[in-house]
Amino acid sequence: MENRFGLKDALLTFFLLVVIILIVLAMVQFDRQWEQIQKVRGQLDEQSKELRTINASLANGIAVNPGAVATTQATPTTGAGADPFATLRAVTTTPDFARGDWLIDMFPGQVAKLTPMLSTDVYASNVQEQILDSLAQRDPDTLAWTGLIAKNWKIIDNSAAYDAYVAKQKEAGKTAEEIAKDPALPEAVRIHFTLRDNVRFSDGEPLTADDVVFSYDFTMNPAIAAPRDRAYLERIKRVEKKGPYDVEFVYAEPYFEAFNLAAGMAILPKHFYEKFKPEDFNQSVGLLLGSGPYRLEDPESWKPGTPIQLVRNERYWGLAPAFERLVYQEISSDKARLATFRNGKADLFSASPEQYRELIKDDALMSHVQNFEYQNLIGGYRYVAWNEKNPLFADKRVRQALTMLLDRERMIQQIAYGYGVLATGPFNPQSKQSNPDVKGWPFDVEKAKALLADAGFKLGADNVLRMPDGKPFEFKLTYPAGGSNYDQMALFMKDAYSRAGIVLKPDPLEWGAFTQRLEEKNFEAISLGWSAGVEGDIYQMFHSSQMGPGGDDFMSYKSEKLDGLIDAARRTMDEPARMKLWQQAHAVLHEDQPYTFLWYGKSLIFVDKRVENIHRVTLGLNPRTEWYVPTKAQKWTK
Amino acid sequence: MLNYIIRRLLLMIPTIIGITLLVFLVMAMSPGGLTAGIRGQEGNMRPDQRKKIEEYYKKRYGLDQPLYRQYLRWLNHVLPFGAKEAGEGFPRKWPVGLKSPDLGESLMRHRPVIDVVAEALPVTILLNLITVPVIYAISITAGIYAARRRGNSFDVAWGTTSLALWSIPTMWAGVMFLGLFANRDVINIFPASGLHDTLAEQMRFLPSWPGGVFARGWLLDFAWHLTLPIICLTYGGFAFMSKLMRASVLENLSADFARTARAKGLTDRAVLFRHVLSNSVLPLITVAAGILPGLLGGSLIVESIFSINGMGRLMIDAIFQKDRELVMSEAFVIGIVSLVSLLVADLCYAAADPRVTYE
Repeated sequence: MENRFGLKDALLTFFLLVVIILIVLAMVQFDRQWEQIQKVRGQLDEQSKELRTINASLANGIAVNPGAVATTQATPTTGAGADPFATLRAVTTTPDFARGDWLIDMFPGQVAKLTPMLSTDVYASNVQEQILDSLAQRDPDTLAWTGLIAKNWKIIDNSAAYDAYVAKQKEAGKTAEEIAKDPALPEAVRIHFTLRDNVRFSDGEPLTADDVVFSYDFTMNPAIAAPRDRAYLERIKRVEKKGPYDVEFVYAEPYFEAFNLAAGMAILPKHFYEKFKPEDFNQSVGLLLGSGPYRLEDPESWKPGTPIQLVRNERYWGLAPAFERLVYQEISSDKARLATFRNGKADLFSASPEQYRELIKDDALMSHVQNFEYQNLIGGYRYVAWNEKNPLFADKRVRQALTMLLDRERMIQQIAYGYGVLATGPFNPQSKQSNPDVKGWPFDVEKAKALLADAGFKLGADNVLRMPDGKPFEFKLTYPAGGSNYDQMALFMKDAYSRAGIVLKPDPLEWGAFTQRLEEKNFEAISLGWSAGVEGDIYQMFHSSQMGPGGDDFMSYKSEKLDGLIDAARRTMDEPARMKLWQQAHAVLHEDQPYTFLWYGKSLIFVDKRVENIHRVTLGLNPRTEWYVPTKAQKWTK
Repeated sequence: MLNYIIRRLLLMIPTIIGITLLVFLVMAMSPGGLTAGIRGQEGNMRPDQRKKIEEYYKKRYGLDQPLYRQYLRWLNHVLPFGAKEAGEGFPRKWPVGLKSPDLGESLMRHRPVIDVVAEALPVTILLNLITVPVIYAISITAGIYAARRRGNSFDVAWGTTSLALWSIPTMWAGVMFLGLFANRDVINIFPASGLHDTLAEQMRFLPSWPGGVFARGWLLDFAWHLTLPIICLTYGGFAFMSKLMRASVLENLSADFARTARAKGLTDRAVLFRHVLSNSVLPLITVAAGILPGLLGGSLIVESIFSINGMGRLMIDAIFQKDRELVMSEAFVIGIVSLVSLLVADLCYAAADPRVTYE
């Protein structure tokens, strides 16, 4: 028959077998090479460790001579800060402190780009923070600036002369634009930084003033696709090199965040980024090299979807952190993230209030993890904004009444499961900006009703409150659809207001449509959240100049007193004086209630139990560089 | 036949334009328009800074131009011919002519669409390359077996089971798998997410026994991570395919040629495998033609549950973020693949069955 196994078939089978065997052999061969590479890698690691010890002993050798240290500390400066590694140094003396092991964190989204300035997601900035260093940083506990790359700095505040000159020119009848162009206008602020001379990038090149100047110039180059960073740094007029380790930041106008901008700017290595053409840089995804405590194994080849693993930078000038590697896993599914954490394949898990409440009762999980609940200084608040163009909300007594009708403490209990802190204004209650004398409006239905009656509202026959012209008190609360517990919040408010005869209609909107409504100011009341900085700037949401198209004063709120306070605060470089102004602004906002401030959310975090020395600081939790795993508990490195 | 093919190919042009135009208009007219995505990304930025960024991107991606120009601009980009910069393509000196097609740059990721797709597509294709043969192998075997013993306990049991499997939503099954088989507190034998272990980089390629302890190796680790997703992707396909196979085998077994074959003295086995089988697989081949575009689309549900970055999630993310360029390109490519595979299926009918002609 024609289907019999013939000679041709036999040959073909034989040939196929040979090919398969060859492939297997090739695979084994590759495997052997792989092992060789691993060996070479291990040797390299050891060598760099040795290098670190040599470096450390060299540094100690210098410290033996106390005179040298004394002279550097004696230089007159307006700031240098304390030793940025004082806490870490103290931790290293604890008996079970050990270096080694990995810390595995999870991102709920995918990192699209790691290249600085091009990346847009918060995950990428988390990674960059570990790799890029800045001139100074805020101490996470005292919030004072301490020098990192910068040894010390001098702030030359010339704003008085600037103000005087501007005032004089204004009297002479010149417009603001003309004054800004005037070459004789004195520069308002100069900040002089002196850099440490022992800082190196992770590829071994020294960090000098040229790199600082380059970091600014590179960002400001219009050919680079960095509109976001440019928008921030625009306030800086120029950055000048004053010596191999001296730079000066120059500002045309007085600006309260002048120092933050300069000190917080990530310093990029000139020799590394310079070699890319702007078009190539704009298309890149993983060009990341810096002088921070960690580095990418290969600063050029990372691609989205490949694992993000940072290794300790053995050339770091400061005190080396404990973890050998920081690993970031991208797991989008909530269930899978929890499962991964539960199985000990990840060390950190940040939970929603609802999850947190359930998980702390889960004994199997709690036996191997520790939990932290804290109010983050840079965590945001939830609010309801009242559109003052609408006759319903034009009167501040009505807005105060609308706040007093809400039992906000109960809202926190029911909607945020108790993991929130009542907000009385736009400043975090822990920050110095917050006015300690401002107490939130109480939950007082009777007082609220009285205020509404004062404002001319009367209860109709159908139990609905009516305006003096007979129109019912009825409005739509617009909020983003599908957002965390916004629905619950709208229902709670509907219920609370109906007791005073006010009709609230929930109006959830898809995010795209929602932002369009905000832009067009086409809403009655709207609910959303703001996140905060260490020092919040309320200009964009409450200054009346922001009422126009594109501004964030979408409720068309205007208070001349507040405008004056905000303007003054933003021009005041002196911190205590500025804080007083912010506190007054807080009081004005409390009185006027352009928003009903609801609550600040709490951060709810679980961490694997083997990680030690995690504790609460003003800013949130202490930085991960201070955490460690005792040798016995180490699990990823043998 | 050639006439028919040319006619069908020409018809594809208005169809593709129709598909992309529809997708474009729906995106442009959705609330917030195309800039909503860009705006939504900016969060806490100050209004003046936000405006600058918006303007920058609007200009870069031509979002400030009228809609018809935006569409024509996009169409011109993706076609291999049309308006081009002089000095590129062919003929070099003309402003119009042949050029390399360009899928554009993703509005949200600010990277070439082709790169973004190139990262997601291999995973999706790999999943499907395993899934489709598994579904086919199991359903063809089960279909034949059920047809040979029509009405017996296996036939009934398989029919019921596969229908039951078909009715289980993947979303539920995936989450149950995670909760049961990837849970330290129940059974922890499978990984919960991703395609590789955290330590995969340090692994050898093949399994090994360093110091007498079994080490999985990279290859086995990968297969182990693929197990649960593949189960989720396959189990639903059995019912449909095996029923189709069973019906087709039954029909052919009672056909005249099968009776003739049996009459000339062939065993039942020979009749089935030599004569009936090849005829019965035909409907499955035509079904396969319809699956091709789905191969590129990926499965959103399985990809989301097991945190695999494939085409399904890319598409959904792009739609939610209103990433026009990415959505349009995917619609364009999947549209072309669908139309071509439909044409191929029609031609296969003619090739397989001499009664079908397109003259």
